[in-house]
Amino acid sequence: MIGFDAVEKSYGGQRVLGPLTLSIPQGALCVLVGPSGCGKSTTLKMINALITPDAGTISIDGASVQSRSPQELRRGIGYVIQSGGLFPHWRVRDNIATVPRLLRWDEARIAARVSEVADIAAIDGAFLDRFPHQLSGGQQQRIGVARALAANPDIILMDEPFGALDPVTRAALQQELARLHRGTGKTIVLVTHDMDEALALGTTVVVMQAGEIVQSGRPAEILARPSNDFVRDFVGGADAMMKLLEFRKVQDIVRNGEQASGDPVPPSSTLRSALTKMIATGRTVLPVAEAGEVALGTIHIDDIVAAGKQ
Amino acid sequence: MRRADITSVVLLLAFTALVLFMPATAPLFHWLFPENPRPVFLRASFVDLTLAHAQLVALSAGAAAAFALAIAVFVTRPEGREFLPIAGALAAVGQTFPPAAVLALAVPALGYGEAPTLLALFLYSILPVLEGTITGLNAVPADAREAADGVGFSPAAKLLRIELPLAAPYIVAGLRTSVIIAIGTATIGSTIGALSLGSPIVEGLAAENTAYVIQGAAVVALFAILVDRVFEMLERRFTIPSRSESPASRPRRATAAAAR
Repeated sequence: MIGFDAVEKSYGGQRVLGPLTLSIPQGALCVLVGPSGCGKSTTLKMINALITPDAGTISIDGASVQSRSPQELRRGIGYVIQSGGLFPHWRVRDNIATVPRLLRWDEARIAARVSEVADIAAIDGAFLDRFPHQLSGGQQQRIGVARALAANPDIILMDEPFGALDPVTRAALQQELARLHRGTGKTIVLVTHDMDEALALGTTVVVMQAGEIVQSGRPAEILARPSNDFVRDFVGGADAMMKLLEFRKVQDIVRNGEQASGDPVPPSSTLRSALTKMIATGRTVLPVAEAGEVALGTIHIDDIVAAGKQ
Repeated sequence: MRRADITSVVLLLAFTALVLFMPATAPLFHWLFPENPRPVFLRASFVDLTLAHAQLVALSAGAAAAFALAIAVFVTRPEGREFLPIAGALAAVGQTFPPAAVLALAVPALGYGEAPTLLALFLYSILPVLEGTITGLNAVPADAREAADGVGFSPAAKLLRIELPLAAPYIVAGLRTSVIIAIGTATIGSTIGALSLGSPIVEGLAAENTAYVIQGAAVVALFAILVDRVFEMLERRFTIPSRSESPASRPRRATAAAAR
């Protein structure tokens, strides 16, 4: 668990952060989101002591980060930055091996670990002997992620990791990050200014403004009950209702036992895709069934509208 | 073999032949200057002159490079950043001093011979390496530097394994300029009694013996060109392969030359 307790930071007499209190549970994918200058990156960089607070404490599993050697602390925490931050004079293989080498693992173990994390981050083995600038931005960022994973840290910090990528590559890497998070159970703290990215990835979303937390919670909570106008605008105003439908499943509002005609929707699909199907087929009621199985019941447009208002 | 390599070999052969067998050119210079009773410089062998010249350059440029590197590293660290403008200004002042003036001022303090020559060359060689190293260290991508901190490099390890290797092409380019300047400037040391390839030039000028001047100048010029080529190879060695090329091959042009 990562804890912030009354943490403050000022630059030149101007307070840019805090007092900030936050706790990030183990295994969370916590997204810090907000406009430029809201303090989200500052918050992130305090976890691995790249920035030291003026007041307050930051702790990992109860132990204060300020009391540890910064180098030792950082070697135990994965760190991914925008555009990868790879070392241009090192081959991909050596970039990935950075932290294991700093930790003085033996070379055989390093080689085995490099191919292992290359697999996890879906890096083509042929790229390992290339230099970073010979690869695309998306590939470079995969390598950045692999480097962060190499020494198997419990915590990974990501500072705008997908900000410099084109939308298609970004979406692909977001999906892979979500998969990686589910697969490894690591605690990931990610900073972004993109609310859609925050809602799509986060198990916890922390909305920040002017150095303070304005709301934190699960994505659906933030969409359904924005705490103020800033958050409401930031999640997309009226469009938030549509986004919220992505977080709710057909199985939550199925009318069991009813019958209807038409193309069935699976119970695990989102309300948004059910609504899309209704519009596409011109129906207001659809049967709910797993592909090729007997219908469980029906879904009604009225129920979707009601669910969207909650 | 590439054309550039062939040129280098030819230049190297010409240089070696001139240094080893200069007396054998006597008939040529006798034919060029029939009135000249002593057509070849014989006070010292060209082997000795070249070795003495190389020694002057290596000592002064080597010391200057080590000094400049240390200063450049210091003024690009957070603790030394405030000295960055001063270091640049001082080095530039050293460069604007005419070498003859440095020699004239140094002679009363250090006497005649090699010592004042070494001092003048030392002062002259600092600026290019200092500028190259500062430029190179400042050109290290900010994200590479941030990543180095973030993954847990110590400041010293970051300098040695990330910053200096990335700055290497610029440092070598600075070293190249400084050594080439030193090779040319070292000839002036012979006006105050240092033995160098300038000796035939200075004596030739004093005694109106053009043959000596040509002999000294030809060997110095070839020496400078050869050393320049060695540095060009070094720069290529330190430059990261460019995007279009496979990792096995090295780029053919030295991008670091653009640093100057």
